Amino acid sequence: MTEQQRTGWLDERFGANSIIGGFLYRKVPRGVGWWQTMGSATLVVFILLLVTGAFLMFNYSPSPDHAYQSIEYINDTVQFGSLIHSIHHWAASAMVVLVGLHGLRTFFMASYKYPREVTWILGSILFVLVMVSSFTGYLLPWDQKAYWATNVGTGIAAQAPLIGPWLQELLVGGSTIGALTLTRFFTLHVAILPPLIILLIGAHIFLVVRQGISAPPKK
Amino acid sequence: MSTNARDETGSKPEGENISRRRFLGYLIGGIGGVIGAALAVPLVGYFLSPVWKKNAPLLTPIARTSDIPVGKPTFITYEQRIRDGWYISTLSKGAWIVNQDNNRFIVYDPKCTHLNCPYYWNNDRQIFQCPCHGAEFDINGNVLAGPPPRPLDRLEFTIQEGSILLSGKIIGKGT
Repeated sequence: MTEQQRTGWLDERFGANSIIGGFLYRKVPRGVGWWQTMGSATLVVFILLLVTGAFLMFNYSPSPDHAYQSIEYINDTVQFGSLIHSIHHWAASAMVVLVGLHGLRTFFMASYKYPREVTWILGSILFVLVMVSSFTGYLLPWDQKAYWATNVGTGIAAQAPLIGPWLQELLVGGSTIGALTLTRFFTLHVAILPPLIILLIGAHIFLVVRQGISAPPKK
Repeated sequence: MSTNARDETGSKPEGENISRRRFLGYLIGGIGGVIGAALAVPLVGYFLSPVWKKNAPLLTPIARTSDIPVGKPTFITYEQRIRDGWYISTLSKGAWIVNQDNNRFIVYDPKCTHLNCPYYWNNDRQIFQCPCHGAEFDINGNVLAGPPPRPLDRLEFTIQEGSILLSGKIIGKGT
């Protein structure tokens, strides 16, 4: 079977080959190497997080009475539960590292400059969203580490001038960290942030494909 | 035999010629497939988990064997703990315990097998009696009189260190 035969059916209907081709067969400037793979690596890890996260939701209960027990249940009883949980845990850490490297690469190779400012701005917003995802996800296991980390995190927000206390109350969903904080963080973590990130990643990647990878600076 | 391969008149490799680009395409597809499968297996296993991964039942201690007199059925009440995933609920229940000879015990579900009425022990006649429709059972649970379709249901139990532990499972239901 040739390439033409394999994709012919879709190609005949909506020109699939030119879409796939436009995505895969792009001109890449000389000198592009491993540093330029950080964005793709971030994307792969993000997809892993989406899939494992969705599966974790099958057994997670965002209530103070049961959050910790439901995580224990995932780890100890559910088939492959600890594996799926671990992948989510480590992929989350890896994503923060990878977006960091991705951003630093873009900065030090001056790829953010004209004409790629919009990609850079979208990337900056994505960076913040990833950080918020990280922070909100950290509370969900509802163990001592999660509880006190959130205590510290929301405490830092309270130090902001003027709006600090108001900001803390908004984050916590009340005066103390508890049931409302947990549902608040859970909803942000699973229902608000991921769709936002997916949308922005779509635009971000569209621009990368449209404009091409920037040539590394001359040494 | 010449050491120079170009001197040999070998046959051309059989099969379709594969371009470098095509080969790399297959390679990438293959690696992607392996990674996808490696991820799909745990995910499918996770989803199907309820089918084959059962929680061990929670054992509820209901009585000390030394507290049950031989030959005299004793009614006890207890809180059955029921495990539902990560959630543990309790249910107030009762049971009739028969101590046959300090070694052998029977734990009866306290509901008549006719229409689930609670029955009682008639010590004068040495039988279990149901007030609803006059059912009578002997101390071994066999039907002596009345409409019940089967002997008294028994509850699964184990004895550990002199304590009777219920698993919550009914044995003999429908038999």
